[in-house]
Amino acid sequence: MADPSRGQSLETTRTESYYVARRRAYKVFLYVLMFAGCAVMLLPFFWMLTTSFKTELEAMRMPPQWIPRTWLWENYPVALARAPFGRYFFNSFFVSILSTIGEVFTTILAAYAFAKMRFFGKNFLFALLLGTMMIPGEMLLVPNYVTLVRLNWFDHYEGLIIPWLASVFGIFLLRQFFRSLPDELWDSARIDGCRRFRYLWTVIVPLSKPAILTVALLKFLGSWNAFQWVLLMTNTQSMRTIPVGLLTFSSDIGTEYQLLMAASVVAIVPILILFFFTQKQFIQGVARTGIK
Amino acid sequence: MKRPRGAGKKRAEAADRKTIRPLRLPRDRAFWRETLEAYWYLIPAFLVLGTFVFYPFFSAFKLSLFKWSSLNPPGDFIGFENYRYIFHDRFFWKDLGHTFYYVGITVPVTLTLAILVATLLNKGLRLLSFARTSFFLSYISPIVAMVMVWRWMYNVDYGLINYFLSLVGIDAIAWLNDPRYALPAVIILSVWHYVGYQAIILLAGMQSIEQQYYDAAKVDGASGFQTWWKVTVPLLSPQIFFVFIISLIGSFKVFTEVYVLFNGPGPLRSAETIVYYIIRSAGRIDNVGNHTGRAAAASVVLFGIIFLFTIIQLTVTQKRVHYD
Amino acid sequence: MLRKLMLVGLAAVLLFGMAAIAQEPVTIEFWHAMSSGHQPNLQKLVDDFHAAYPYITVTLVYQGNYGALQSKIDAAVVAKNLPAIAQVYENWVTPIASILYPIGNFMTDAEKADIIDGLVPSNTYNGVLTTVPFNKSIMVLYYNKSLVTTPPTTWAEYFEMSKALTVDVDGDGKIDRYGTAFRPAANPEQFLIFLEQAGGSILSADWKEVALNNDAGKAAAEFVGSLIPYSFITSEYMSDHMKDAAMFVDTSAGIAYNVKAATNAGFELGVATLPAGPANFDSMIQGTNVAVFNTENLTQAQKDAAVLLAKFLIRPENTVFWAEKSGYQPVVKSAYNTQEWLNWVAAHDYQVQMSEQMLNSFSQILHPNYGDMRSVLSTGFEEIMRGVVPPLEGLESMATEIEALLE
Repeated sequence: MADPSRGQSLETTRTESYYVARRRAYKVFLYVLMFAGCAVMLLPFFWMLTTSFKTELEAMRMPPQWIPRTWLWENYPVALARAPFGRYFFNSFFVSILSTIGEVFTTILAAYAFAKMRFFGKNFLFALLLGTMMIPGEMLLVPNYVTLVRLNWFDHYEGLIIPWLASVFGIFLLRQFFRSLPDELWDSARIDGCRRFRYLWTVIVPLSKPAILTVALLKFLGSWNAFQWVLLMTNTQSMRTIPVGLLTFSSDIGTEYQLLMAASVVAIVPILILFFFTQKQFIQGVARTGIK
Repeated sequence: MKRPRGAGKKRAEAADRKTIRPLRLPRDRAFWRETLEAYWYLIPAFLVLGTFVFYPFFSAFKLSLFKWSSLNPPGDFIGFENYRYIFHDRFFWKDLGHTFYYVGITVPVTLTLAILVATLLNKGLRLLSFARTSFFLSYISPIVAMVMVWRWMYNVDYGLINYFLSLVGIDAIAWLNDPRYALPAVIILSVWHYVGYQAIILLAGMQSIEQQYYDAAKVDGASGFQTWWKVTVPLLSPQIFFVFIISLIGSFKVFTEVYVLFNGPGPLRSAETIVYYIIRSAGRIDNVGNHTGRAAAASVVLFGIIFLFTIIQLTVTQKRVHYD
Repeated sequence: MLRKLMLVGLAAVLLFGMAAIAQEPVTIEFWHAMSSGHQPNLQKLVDDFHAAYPYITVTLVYQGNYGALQSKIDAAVVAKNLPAIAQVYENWVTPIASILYPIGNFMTDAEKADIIDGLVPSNTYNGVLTTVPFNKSIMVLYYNKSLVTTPPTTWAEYFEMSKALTVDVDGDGKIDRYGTAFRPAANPEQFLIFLEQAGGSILSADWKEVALNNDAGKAAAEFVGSLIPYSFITSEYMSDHMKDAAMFVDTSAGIAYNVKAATNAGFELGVATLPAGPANFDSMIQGTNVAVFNTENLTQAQKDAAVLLAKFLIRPENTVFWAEKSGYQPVVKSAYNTQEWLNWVAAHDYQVQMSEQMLNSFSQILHPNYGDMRSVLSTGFEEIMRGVVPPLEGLESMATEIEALLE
């Protein structure tokens, strides 16, 4: 309320509430914008989900049918029966988990060396690493196929896991993080007679849990979603992973969209579950990749 | 952690000098012992990379000099014949053009939108977690599944996109069948796919900007927009640079979105990108001839372009990125 | 008496013994790209084969789509671990014809003559029948029965009807339905059909010259050019665009999808043989063959087993079974006269036209660079049909590009 004795005129009050209202309108506007953005981002998922329950005809209706009239839960078992999804699931999990564990191991070692150690050829080797990020993978497919065959890893789990046990991006990420840890820690540990290797695993690694978790999550995600490599480096169905399984639906002549959507939902669900439980780490970790 | 250019910098530098390490340590025995130890640490990663990245990379250069077909490696040595062929192939240039067009629009548009989204999410609104998740979802889903949905959404008769357009009075666009709209269709899809990922990174960067800079700006009487333009964005430049580089390199390699969206290179091959050209030359798709040597040559050229752009980026932005 | 019995017994034991030794168990891999819908039927054929030849085990290996299968085969050529038998497109094996094991050498003349005429040249390498056809489909004319009462039988009728059926229903200046449709980029075969019907060909008989831009080629190019204003052009499947055209040339293998789409769109779909051009009304057969490989990693027993499998697959009763289940066409002439097939045709009247068309057909030439030629045709045909270049000019540039591929 206006108090002339304190120098507040009636005019000030009107302006005050005007500003309050304006700020509120601005806030509302921001919320609207945010929800609009979220809607745009989520729309394809919503569409995928609802279409997966529709009949073929409903899927093709125009104007679009937002909510299916009949909830065809059968689409799921029908879609999953078209291919051995049980096996695909197992393979996806097996390959992704092993790749992740292995990659984390090699990455921690290499990232630490680049971050904290002095050695001959350090800059050269690091530049080499940088260079690989620019290599288009397509260049490497046929030579790698021949390599896998020679090693008898073609159409075996080794061929799906071992080539992916090193990640340049992961090394960058961890190196960045390790660099931010103070050197004094090592100095005092060294004085106490600690071997470097032990220091790495008992001191550095526990301190780096968020970054390591990020590397692991990103690796798992990449491995789960990978399909070009799996498609080309496996022969038999029993070795395939889920994304490749999705492809069996796109037959040469036409597609049954509602079944395709059902299978797509199934392909996404495990990642969503993982994401749901590790959300904070995931997003934080990815976000921090940009922070020096 | 971050300091903008200004008066405080000199004082900070002076303080740093007290704890700065000397630039070059002597290469004594300790150095070489450490080198040996370091190499042990590097061996696992480099063994894998050596076998599956470096070796095939050089193999590909060799490949490009041969009339290598995947049926008959290495074939005859033909020197630079493959390069001569692709430089004379009008589709090689067309596809490069398509790729540059794609990169030229996707990268800035995604980045700009990502900055705006990050700004929006940084406003301290509630339900931030929900918003962040919604934006991030597109990045973590398998690309094949996503493109299938979009293919359906782009359908000229039953698709959602044209439905929404019709609501605002725009006629149906044959996204997947009109050479003028094919590449834009891919661009829109890509922007949608990557904006969340980039926004998350930028948001984190924004959130780590210390309040004191905003306070200083407010004291100076800066408006909201001025603050954003003169404080937030410059302080965000390391992240922007990082995202830009990743986006740039990744965009040059676009292929899966095109192939799954059009089940081919698009009408009149209007969405054919350079990587598509490479894979097609190798005979992997579209039931055409098998010319792995040519594919290798084209991939060497692609690598050269990416390399060049990265170097340019690194030098140009060296000056404009504000590190401390 | 006893001695005679013993002799007979001994002979029998010897015979069975020899048979047992001769028929040592052998395992072969059959690489294919048949998707999940087809796989049970392929497995049934293999099971029947197992029953007929108990000592042979066939392992079906699904490699993915045709692109993936081709990649695998190419890589296996390099790595020298080809399977005994695989489903192949002609282009995949013309460059490596020397490592194909000619199945024809193990077939009687009658068996060889039984193969559909239009399919023989595309399975014959150096005058020897080397591969055998497997899953084949043929291009036929689909039409909307509510709009087309009698399908066209000549080019002239086809043109007139396409023109008449191209309408702008709501008068908004945009054509709502075209008379016909083409998928030039995905299906350059649609042009090759007109080329063949005009009596033309891509190359001269000795493959030394390009024949594409001869008079026949020009006639074909001008004819398709005349259809441009009345054609719906797309790269997608016509089953997604049933309402956009009154007639269209498409593969017989798409019948199920096309019929379903037509029903959804509210009309009945008819099938007809193609309208006749100046020379004939031949259509093009597409699809894969089955090839047996002759490489060091395969034993003679494996190659023999593979040949037996190939011959088994084209036995009339088996090709009929496969055709009925898969929607492809039987590949031997005698199959069309079996009671089983006649019953099938009686129950599915579109098969009348498809069967007739199969007997008036041609398939691709076996030039080693055909893959590249097809790429040229695909791009060139699309550029003509989308109006980027005039038909004759487009034809000339295709001819020039193909000429460069002749060495």
